Amino acid sequence: MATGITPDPLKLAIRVYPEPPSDEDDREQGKLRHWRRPHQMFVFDTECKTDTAQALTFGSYRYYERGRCLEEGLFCGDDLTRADRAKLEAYVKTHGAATDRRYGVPGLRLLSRREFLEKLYDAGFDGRGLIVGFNLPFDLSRVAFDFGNAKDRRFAGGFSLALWDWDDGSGKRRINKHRPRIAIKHIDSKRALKGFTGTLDADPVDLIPEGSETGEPEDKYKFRGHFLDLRTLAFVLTDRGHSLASACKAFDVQQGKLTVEQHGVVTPEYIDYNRRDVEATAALASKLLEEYDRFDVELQETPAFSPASLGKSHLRKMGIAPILERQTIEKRYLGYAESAFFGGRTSAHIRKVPVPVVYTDFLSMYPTVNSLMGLWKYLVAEEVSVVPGDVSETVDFLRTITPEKLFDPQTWTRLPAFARVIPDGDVLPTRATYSVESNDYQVALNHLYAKSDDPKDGLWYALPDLAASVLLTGRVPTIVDAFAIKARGTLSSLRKITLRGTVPIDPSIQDFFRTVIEERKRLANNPALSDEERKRLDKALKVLANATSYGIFAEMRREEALKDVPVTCYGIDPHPFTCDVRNPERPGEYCFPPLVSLITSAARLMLALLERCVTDLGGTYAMEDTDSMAIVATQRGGLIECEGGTHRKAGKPAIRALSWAQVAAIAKRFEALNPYDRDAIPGSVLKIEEDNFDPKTEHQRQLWCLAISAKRYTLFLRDKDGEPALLREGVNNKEDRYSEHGLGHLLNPADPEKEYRNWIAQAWLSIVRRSLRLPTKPLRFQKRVAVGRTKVSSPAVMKPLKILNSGKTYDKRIKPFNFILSCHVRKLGHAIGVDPERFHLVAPYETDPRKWETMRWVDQYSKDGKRYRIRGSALHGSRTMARVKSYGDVLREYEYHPEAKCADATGAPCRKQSLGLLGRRHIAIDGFIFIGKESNKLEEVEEGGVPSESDVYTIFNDSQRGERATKWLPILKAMPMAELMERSGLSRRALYMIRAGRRPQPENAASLKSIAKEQGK
Amino acid sequence: MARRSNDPIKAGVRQSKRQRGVGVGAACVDCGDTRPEMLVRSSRPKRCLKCYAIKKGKKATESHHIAGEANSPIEVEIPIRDHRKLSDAQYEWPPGVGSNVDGSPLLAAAGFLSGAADFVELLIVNGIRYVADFLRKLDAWLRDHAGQQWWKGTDFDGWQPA
Repeated sequence: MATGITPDPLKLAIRVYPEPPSDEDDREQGKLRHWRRPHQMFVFDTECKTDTAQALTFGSYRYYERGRCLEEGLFCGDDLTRADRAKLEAYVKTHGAATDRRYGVPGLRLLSRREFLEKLYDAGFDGRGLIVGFNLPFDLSRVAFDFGNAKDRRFAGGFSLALWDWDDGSGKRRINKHRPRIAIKHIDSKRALKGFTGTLDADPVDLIPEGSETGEPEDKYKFRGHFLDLRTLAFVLTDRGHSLASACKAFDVQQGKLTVEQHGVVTPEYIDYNRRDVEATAALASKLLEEYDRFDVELQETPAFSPASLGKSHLRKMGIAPILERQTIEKRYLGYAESAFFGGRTSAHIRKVPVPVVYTDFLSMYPTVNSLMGLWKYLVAEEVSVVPGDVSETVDFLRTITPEKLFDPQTWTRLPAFARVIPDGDVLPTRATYSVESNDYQVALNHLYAKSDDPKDGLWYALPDLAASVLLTGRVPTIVDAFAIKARGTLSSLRKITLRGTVPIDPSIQDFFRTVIEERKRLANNPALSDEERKRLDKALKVLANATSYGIFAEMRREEALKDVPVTCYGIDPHPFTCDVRNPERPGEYCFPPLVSLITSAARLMLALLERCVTDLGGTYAMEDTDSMAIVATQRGGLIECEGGTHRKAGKPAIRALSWAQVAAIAKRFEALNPYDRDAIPGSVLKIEEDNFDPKTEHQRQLWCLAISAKRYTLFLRDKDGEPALLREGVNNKEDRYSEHGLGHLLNPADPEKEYRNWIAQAWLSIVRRSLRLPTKPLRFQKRVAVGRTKVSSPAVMKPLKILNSGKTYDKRIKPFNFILSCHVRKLGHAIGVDPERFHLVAPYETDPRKWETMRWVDQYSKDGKRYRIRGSALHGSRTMARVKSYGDVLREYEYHPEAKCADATGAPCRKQSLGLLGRRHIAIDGFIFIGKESNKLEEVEEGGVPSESDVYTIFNDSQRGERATKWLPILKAMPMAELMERSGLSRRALYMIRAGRRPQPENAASLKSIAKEQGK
Repeated sequence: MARRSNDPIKAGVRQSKRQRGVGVGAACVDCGDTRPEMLVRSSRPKRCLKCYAIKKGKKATESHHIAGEANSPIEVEIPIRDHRKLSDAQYEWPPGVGSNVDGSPLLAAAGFLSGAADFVELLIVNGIRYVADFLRKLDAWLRDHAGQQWWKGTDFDGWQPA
């Protein structure tokens, strides 16, 4: 251990490769039956009140057969006022249906909700047509009659909506059990699993499986429906979230959305607006399906959940089965590789000090490193094997690592290997909770120290991470074990394909990742393609490249079990451990940890190489984010004042800015690592981003960067008077360049009903001006209570709101997928008598900010849904009132958010007030926590729907590495039995058992722990 | 019969259920008919209504209530596959006409008219189709026996489309 440094002890969070019990149902689901897209399409959209219950006011539907609209109608909510109903009736009398002239029903129909549901049932369940909508969960819950928790294992953790009811003769409506319910399990803001449930005494014709060639009913078959949510399909095809308007724009739908003055009030214009939405949805469906069909893959569009689904289908089409399906690899190696899996390098390096920069970015980072390491050969290999490595060979290889060596592409082909190291100050990625304030795991690159020299205390890393450490420290880590991944032969099942009907690929001779990137670049020069086709193809190839080069190899599906299930976990030790968890994870179809760990590790190595190039010239950087780095640079270079800098300028600490020419020269060096065909992609893989150039003159301009912490940064310009201007799309740049991370979930304080995000730009500009010591005006909204919008996405979120629903009819209740409000309680602002760690307030949706402080908010953690008022200005909370943050508070916290994973200039962990150049922390390993994947629910944590990130990680307890086994049991074992009996009050027999490894009762555990603690002193 | 449906969704349901009931790609083993509505769901191997009846030694005609059973007991004997077509057409009668639950004489009259219209339509369609099919086959036969342009130098020369 280096002298004079006391590393901070931290528990590291390590990923494990889980093996839950086998799942027959799941395997059955995986098998896709022969399926033909139905010719029938039922499209609908609903409008709702803007009050807390967001009940259905009216909606409209269209029924299409082979592209022809045969029926159109309106439907209205059960409790619509007579006046509103009259408006709808008048509308249908004066407006015709937009149906096919020859075959369609001419009149526009007005149906009750129940009549509409009969149509939905006929078209979607009986007729097995496509049920199409944009954000279907919300619309389905508007037309439902009741809801509960999904009981079907597949939808566990989701809602079950009852849509069809019947009159029991006494005027009471009851759920029709002969009709299915619709189960919906929210995955994230773009995706939800939807399906019909089983029915009582199902009709034999409903038990005939889709695509059956015999027409024979199967007793256990459940028709799940063909729910086509265009929000999901647009995401699959573009890899980004869309609104209906933006999706229509992206896919050139002529019938774009209309705008309406006021939502929730029935007017002819509002009905026009709704009908137009249905028309646009239908047109968008045609466009999206047409685009989807161009991929020509054997994957139903309805269960396609992400671009990864599309990527996997392409691999299947090329005859590439998942590696772990075609052969066996010892699981412990998968565990080692999984434990070496970390996300990208992201951090602020110069904090809260605006510095001039050149913003650089690596071209398609993951496909590039994939290509450099030659990972495609593993996917198409006849045999992939693990070869236990020679430790000395690995050490010898690492000894040769220099920047020059890494600029030789041949070096990268030797990187697919892993090694176990006993870290001793080496710069390695670590995942830990670096700050008590933010209760989440972050990945950082820090100096790491093992507890001892025992190999048991070592950690596995992918070889690129070790090469990066050598680059950054100049010394080779202590390696105690190693293995390499080898590929032999070529699969005989490989087939040539044509991507999207245009780009031919022969997987046996072409590197898929490389070819896709090359073809994207070639598109620009292909005169045979129309602009439209070029744009679409470019988008499609981009999506495919991203989908196949990383995510599918990392895929872990987090399941919601109804009870704890045993999971065998492979981690850093040769032998697995077993534990019971409620949310087991199941590796995805193409999951292969060695590949994914190598890919992200190589991306970190690429950034480390860039860092080394910059520091070798005496320079530094302001921030880094996975594949980009803002290098401190000015046109001519020179010293710049900056806290923490090692240089001096006018007696003050300073850093050296590189010149633009030096940065260009660094970029030029990366040309050697361009794995692509130079005709298609000439030059370097390190790009000086377009942001650095004036869009009008195309001359390089001076960019500035202000970084607060990882993913919280902005790029801006300064005029001749020093006044800052953020990079804004359509103003001075092609896209906005200020981060919304950490603020994006908050409602627009100027007008909560408008999605307009200008307020975030205002906030950033204010932060930038303060950091430049320029006068700032107070933001108009800073005193307003900061409120975010989230969704009732699961029964767990609904639970505390039950009290608000008690005794109410469905119309008046808060329904699944309703928007709700979420606020942020100030430190010490919680109500008296509650656990501050478990206190989070939510409220039914209300768009009038004036009412936020007068309405009652529900504590999401209280079992009985206890309600409180909120105040933004009070000094402290009371028993019935909590003190919450204003926008000003949130922005202040945002501005001072510490980059806790880094050290400040003194070497101490970065705090709120830390400024200037940050460094790497020194971390001593103080134990391990074994965790699962970062869940999809992280999005909801940010929105406030799920209170804590700890609720979204699966933690796998390894009793052999737990605190009991590693800390206090050894002390208890060393104590004389008589003393232990006397102090604990436990019997000799009980103590023998406990010392032998038996888990004590919780109260005994607490007492034994305190005895061990005392004894340890 | 391809025409406007009063309730296209219900018509879609019928079509879907029939297709499902016979299975994907089903065709009559005797005559090759692939129309799901003409195939007998329970037949193994699959046969159409007509071939199935013949195979079972039954007659290939059925009695059809021309105005709908609720409107009149009058029946006519028609080919079994035409019966299926006409029965399906009854689903598309104006709402309430086919079921005529309370025996309205006007609805009964509407049933007669609707049934007669369907019947005439079937006769016309079948008749015209028959003639069209006959002409196509005759043309093929003449091409084989009298040459590709058999009409040249005959009384039919000059009848070619302009």
